[in-house]
Amino acid sequence: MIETAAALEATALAQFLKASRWTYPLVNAGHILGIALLVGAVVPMDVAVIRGRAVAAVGLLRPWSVAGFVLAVTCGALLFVTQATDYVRSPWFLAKMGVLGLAVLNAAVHFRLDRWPIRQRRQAALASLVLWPTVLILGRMIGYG
Amino acid sequence: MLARRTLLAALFASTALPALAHHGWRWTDSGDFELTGIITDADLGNPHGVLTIDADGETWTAEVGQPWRNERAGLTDAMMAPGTEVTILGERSADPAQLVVKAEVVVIGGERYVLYPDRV
Repeated sequence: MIETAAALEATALAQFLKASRWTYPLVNAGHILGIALLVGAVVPMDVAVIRGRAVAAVGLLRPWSVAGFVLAVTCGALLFVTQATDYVRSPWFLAKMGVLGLAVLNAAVHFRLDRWPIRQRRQAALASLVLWPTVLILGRMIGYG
Repeated sequence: MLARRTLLAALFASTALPALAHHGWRWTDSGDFELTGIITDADLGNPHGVLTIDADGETWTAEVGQPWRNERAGLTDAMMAPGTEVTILGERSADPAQLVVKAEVVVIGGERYVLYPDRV
């Protein structure tokens, strides 16, 4: 894993990001914007599902959550390659990736929520409501490890 | 229970990671601090530049600037190569157990390189 991380860090892209004055902080801001869109859409969506008023909220918010996810993952990957060897040794980062995997799995399994009985919809929404903010908190802790 | 302890131990162990540095000055003691030693490792670039310095057998971490800040001061990565003797003027961590200093001025070969002109 360390070898792969070192190879990523040695790429021209990672070296450019490492030395850039504006690109790196802008990518950092893009990561935050992605998280804001994702969590900002997921929380009201989950609450609506739990309260049994899902249809309109999910239709409106889901595209924003997906767009935020794509932005966060794209910028996150760029941040990762810049300092890959440090991240793969960070327990906070590894924990974040683990919980992120669970959150994505939960979202993927329940993507067609309307097909599920109400009890399972609520369980999925509750899991989502816990998992995504946990990913956010673990991510923030990487910088304070 | 064992798993939880292992996780906690792993989390505490992570505080020893070298390149996880700090933004800002809230964590420093706001006094003047001077450290002289030999650079043993240089991890430069975004988001933080970090030097490992051997000072009379003590291993210190010195946080220098991002690339643009070092360049503005006239410091290149090559000048901070391992083996170089360096003096760091700056502020140390408010936690005396932490051997960490954030540089305001880097002195190499008698030359002062000012990273934070508004702080010195």
